[in-house]
Parts: sequence; structure tokens; C-alpha cells
Amino acid sequence: MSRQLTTLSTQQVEALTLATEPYLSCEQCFQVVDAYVESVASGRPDDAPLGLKEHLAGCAACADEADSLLELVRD
Amino acid sequence: MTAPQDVPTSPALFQVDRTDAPRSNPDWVAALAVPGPAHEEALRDLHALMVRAARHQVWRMRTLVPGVGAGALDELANGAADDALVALLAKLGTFEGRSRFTTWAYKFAVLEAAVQVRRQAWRGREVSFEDVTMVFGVRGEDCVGPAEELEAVDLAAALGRAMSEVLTPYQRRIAVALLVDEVPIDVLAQRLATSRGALYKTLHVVRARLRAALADSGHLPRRTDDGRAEPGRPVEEVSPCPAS
Repeated sequence: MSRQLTTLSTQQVEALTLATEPYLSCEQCFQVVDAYVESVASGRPDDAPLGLKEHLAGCAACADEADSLLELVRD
Repeated sequence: MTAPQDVPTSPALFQVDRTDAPRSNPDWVAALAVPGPAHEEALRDLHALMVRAARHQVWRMRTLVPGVGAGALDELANGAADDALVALLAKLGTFEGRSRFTTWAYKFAVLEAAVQVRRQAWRGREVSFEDVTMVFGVRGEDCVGPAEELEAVDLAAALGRAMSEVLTPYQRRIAVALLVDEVPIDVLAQRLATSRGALYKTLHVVRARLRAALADSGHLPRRTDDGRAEPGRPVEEVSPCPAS
């Protein structure tokens, strides 16, 4: 079975071609995201492990959970 | 933005308890690791923390499950907190103290609650996983407008060709399901009996292959080994529109 895809939105094009190097897995993201979120809450957003920002840009689920964790830490 | 109908608008059930017990990181680990009265008290406090974080996450995502009432959402949050507590205790030995223990604990509850809400939102919905034929063409009417629009149309067409040519059917299905159909990654992982990590890895490879193909065709700048982008060809050279 095959269906036809005839259009892509600009957002979809951007999502499909996003540069996510250096590679960081979802499991590695989970391991380090708590410390990173505390860095952000302390005004040090550049203290990100290698590849974490790229991962969060490319993984909507991990990004949403990091945002939520940041809200909890700031609350 | 207003909440959809049937979504509880009062967060009364979702008021989070402030149970940040004043324990240091080593105190938390010691209390949870050794049986005794302090262990029971720490477990209760930890469970309260997990409920707080799970409720927070469920409330954030409530618009994804508009037909679910406040009571059911709270039940979902409590179930997620229970599951997260079990997951955390299994990983207690991996806590390295790089963040506060409470932050470390919250992330387990946030993850579990988020996964459960996404699955609840897609319960009963079919996920299309058939292969996709890319039939992007550039139509005559696309060949009018500002240069930016022409460039965008051309890039989308080139991307469609690259998806047909450089991706395997499996990679194409994963990419379309996640980024075009917007199936949540946890839902797709469950339906395919795989993991979020495995799907993200596939997506990472897909993106690299597509960018390489588009760099070869001059539609994207090629990246140097240190990650810097080299300039691409001018858009005139890759325009799909015939010269009039």
C-alpha cells in the first residue's frame, strides 16, 4: 500500500532538514536534562552538554518535557 | 487562548502540593536506600513530589485530551506518578547529584505523565504507516511570486525527490509519520513496538541523508567538518521554473 504526498509546508521542510548534529539520543537527553534545566533557571543557558540543544530542537517530545521541567523548577 | 469545551477550566484538582522537603541530596538517597522509619517518610514525600510533577505535566497537555474530565485527568496523573516512582527507585543508584534530587525526581514524573497523555490522546486513532509516494511537481502557477516563494517551492520539490531517492521505505514512513502526520513519537513507538530513542535515531539519519542530498543538488549549503555552512548555489541556478 502506498499513498501520495503532494505538498510539504515550510515548517515540515524545516523539520525534515533540521541539522541535529552532534547526535544525542533521547536516553542521553533524559540523563542530562535536569542539570541543564537548573542551569537555564539560574541564567546560564549556555551550560548545555554537547548536542543537547540540537536534540531539543529536533525532538518535540523531549523539548516539551524539558520546558515542563523548567516550569516546575522555576515555580 | 481559551480551553476547548469539556476541558476542565478550573485547575482546582491540579493545585500542586508544595512538598519540597528540606533534605539534601545525600539525605534523600540515604533515606530511600535504607529501610526504616526515615525510608517510609522519604517515600511518602517523594510520591508527593511525583504527583506534583505529573499533575503539572497533565495540566500542560490537557487540551490534547479535550473529552477527558478533571477527575480522569487527576487519575491519569496519579497513575503516572506511581509508575514514575517505580522507575525512579529502579534508577536510584544512578543519581550523581548533578542537579537537586527534587529536579531529578520531577523528570521521571514529567516523562511518564507526558507519555500517558500522548497515548491517551491517540487512543482509538489509526496511525497510517503505509509507504508514501512523493509526487511533488512544480506547477505553472507555482512559478509566479517573489524569489523567496519560488525558492521555497523548489526546495520542497527537491526534498520530495530526495525522500524518494535516498530514504528506505522504513525511513520514509517514520519521517512522514513523525514530521508530516505529527504522530507523537511515543505513540508511534508503541504502535511499532519500538522505543522513542530508536525512532529519534532513525529521524536523525533521515535528516542527515536529506540534507546531504539537498546539498548535492545545491538546494542547501554544504556543511564543513566543523559544522560551518558553506554558501550554496544561487537560487537562479536551481530554479525549477522555465525561463519565459
